[in-house]
Amino acid sequence: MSSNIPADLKYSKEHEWVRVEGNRATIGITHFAQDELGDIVFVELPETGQELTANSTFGTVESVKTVSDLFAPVSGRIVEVNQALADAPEQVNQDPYGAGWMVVVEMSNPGELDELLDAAGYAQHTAE
Amino acid sequence: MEDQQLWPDGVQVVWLDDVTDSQRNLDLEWQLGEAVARGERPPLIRVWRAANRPGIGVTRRDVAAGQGEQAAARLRQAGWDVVVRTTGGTAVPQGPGVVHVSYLFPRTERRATTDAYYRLLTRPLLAWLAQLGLAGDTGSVPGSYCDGTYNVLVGGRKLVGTAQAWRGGLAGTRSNRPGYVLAHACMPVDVDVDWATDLINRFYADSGSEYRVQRETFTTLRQLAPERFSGMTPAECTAWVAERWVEWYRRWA
Repeated sequence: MSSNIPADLKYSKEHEWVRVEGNRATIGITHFAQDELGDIVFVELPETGQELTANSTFGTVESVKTVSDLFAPVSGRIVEVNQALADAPEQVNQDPYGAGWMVVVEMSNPGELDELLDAAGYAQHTAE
Repeated sequence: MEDQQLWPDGVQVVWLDDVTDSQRNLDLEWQLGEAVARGERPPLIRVWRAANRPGIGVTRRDVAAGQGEQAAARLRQAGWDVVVRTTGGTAVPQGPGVVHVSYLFPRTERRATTDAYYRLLTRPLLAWLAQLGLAGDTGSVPGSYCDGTYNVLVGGRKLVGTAQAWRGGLAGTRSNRPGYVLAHACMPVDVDVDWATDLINRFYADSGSEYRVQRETFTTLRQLAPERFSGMTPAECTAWVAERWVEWYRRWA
């Protein structure tokens, strides 16, 4: 699989990725998404402790061209927020699967992961 | 033309604003957008005037950064209006001499880009200016307020600022969720450029930001076509433009 779509992650059709470690899910946006958005200048994220509901908006991302919604791929309580993005939102462009992560969620319904795409499915989704 | 495929069927053009209440005026954007997304309203082109109180429109990024919230509060205490908009960029002048046009189009399953929507937004504006005898272009003007690639320029100065917000999923991607694309343009028809520059720079200075705008980088419609607005107040100038934009967009749509 392309390095732009890591094989070990799950993906939403809204171009968020999910890295699962136990009951925790780290969430960010994909390489494809950051490339479509252009230079990212601001990421507005919820606070630690807030509850996310799958398929609901949980924040916004602003690029030089536009502001758009972020959708939660899974439900749960936010246990970590990437505070570094406040000063360095460009990390979402530079390292979307690493330093550009956005939130970590303690999942309340891990079964929702079954609704997400694997890397091959996401590659097909972006090619359509 | 490929961009034109993003132009939805049945676009309605409305002049809808509340010049007495800047927040309500702004809230109408997302209220109408959500109605469009739910299919309760047809795709809209909204022509609207900024509210009567002079001030600035800032972004959520502006107020989230540094001392932005406090800077906004200080300007409000000094009697200026400060509204926080949902599109991106930086501060723009607001007040009775400013007119806006917003496209509120449903998200599409088609391949869509922000660039395409900017072209759909600026093309009729350039055509409208041309029939006033003003040759315009699009481009960036470093030092202008809320600078971007798709400013509308006349004589190398910024006349119209543009911005977008995509709801219901990330911009530039297909989405089958209910959502909408807001493509927005803002034109100072009759604004004191010195005053606007000072107020925007004061906001950023108070915020602890080094960002500043340069007064020589932008202009107003009245400066470009003074004879058309002779003897008119800023509010009258803006109403004149809004009326003509509604007619123009009804023909265009």
